[in-house]
Amino acid sequence: MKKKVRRNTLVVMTFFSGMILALQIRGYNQVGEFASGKSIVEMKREIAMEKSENRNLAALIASKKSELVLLSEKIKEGNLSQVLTQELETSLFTSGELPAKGPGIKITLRDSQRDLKEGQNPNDLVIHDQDILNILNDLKVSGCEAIGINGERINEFSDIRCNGPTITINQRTYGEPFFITAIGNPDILEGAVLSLDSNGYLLQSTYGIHVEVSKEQELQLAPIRSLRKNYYLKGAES
Amino acid sequence: MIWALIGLALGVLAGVFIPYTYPDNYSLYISVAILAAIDSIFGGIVAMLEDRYENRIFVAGFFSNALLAGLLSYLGDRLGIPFYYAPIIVFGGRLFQNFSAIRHHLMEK
Repeated sequence: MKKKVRRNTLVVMTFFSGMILALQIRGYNQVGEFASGKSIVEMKREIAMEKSENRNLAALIASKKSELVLLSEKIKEGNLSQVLTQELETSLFTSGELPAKGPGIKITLRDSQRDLKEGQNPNDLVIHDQDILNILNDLKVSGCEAIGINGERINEFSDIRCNGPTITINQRTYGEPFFITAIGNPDILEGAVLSLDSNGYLLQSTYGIHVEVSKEQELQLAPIRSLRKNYYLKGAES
Repeated sequence: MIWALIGLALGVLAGVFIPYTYPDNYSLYISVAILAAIDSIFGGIVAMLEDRYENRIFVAGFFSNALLAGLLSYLGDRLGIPFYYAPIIVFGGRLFQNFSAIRHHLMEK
C-alpha cells in the first residue's frame, strides 16, 4: 500500500516536470528570436503603414466601384466610346491643349503715365510679373475657367517671369500693354479686378497703373503653344 | 525508476499537446524551476533506494524548491543581480550527487 502511494507520487511528480520541460522547450523554440526595441518600433510603423494602405485601397475600390456604376449607366444610355471621347475633349480643352471660347472679360494693363514724385522709385510705375500673377490669382479665386495673356494660353504650369522692362510668359517675351483674357462669369471677374480690395484696384489707385476691363460675350482663346512633356511624372494607382 | 521514466514520458507528451503556453518573459524562471524539480525527483529516488522516503517531504520539497528557485531568479531580475546562479549551482551540484548515489545503489546490489 505504502509502496503504491510512493510510486504514484513519483509518477505524478515526474509527469509534472516532463510537462513543464516540454512546454519550456516548445515555448523557447517558438519565440526564439531576438527582438530589439528598434526593430519593434520599425515593425509597428510597418504595420501602421500597411493598415493605412489597406484603408486607401478600400477607398480606391469604393471609388472604382462607383465609377463602374457610372460608366455602366452611360453604356445603357448610349455609346461608350462617344462618352469617353467627350470626356477626353473636355479635359483637353480645360488643360489648354485645344482652342476654347466663352464669355468673360478682357483686361488691358498699361504702365502708369504719372510723373515721378520726389523720392518715388520708377519701378513703382511699371507693371511687374508679380502684379500680373496677383491679378491672375484674383481671377482664379473668382471662378475663372481659362486665361490667356497676349495670346498665350495660361495653364497651371505656365511661367510668368520678370525680364527687365518686359515679361516672359510661356518662355516668350512680351512688352506692355498686356491684354489678359479670362473666361468665366463676366460680372464676377470684373469685380475680381476692380473691387476695392483687389490687386487690380491697388495697382490703379496706388501706382496709377492703367487697368481697363471690358466685358465680352464671346472671347477666343488659342491653345497652349508648347505641349508639356512629362519626363519624371508617371501614372500611379491612387 | 521505470515508473519515473514512464511519468516523464507521459508528461512530455502532455506538454507537447497541451494548447497552452506561458509568456516568453517567464522562460528563465521556469528553466530554473525545472532544474529544481528534476533535483527533487532525483532526491526522492535516492531516498527510496535508501529506505528513508517520506511522501509528504518529497511532495513539499518538489513544489517549494521549484517555487523558491523561480522566485529567486525573478528577484534577481528585479534587482539586476543574476540570483538564478544560486539554484543552478546548488541544484545542479546536488543533481550529480544524487545521480552518483543512485548509481552506487544500483551497481552495488
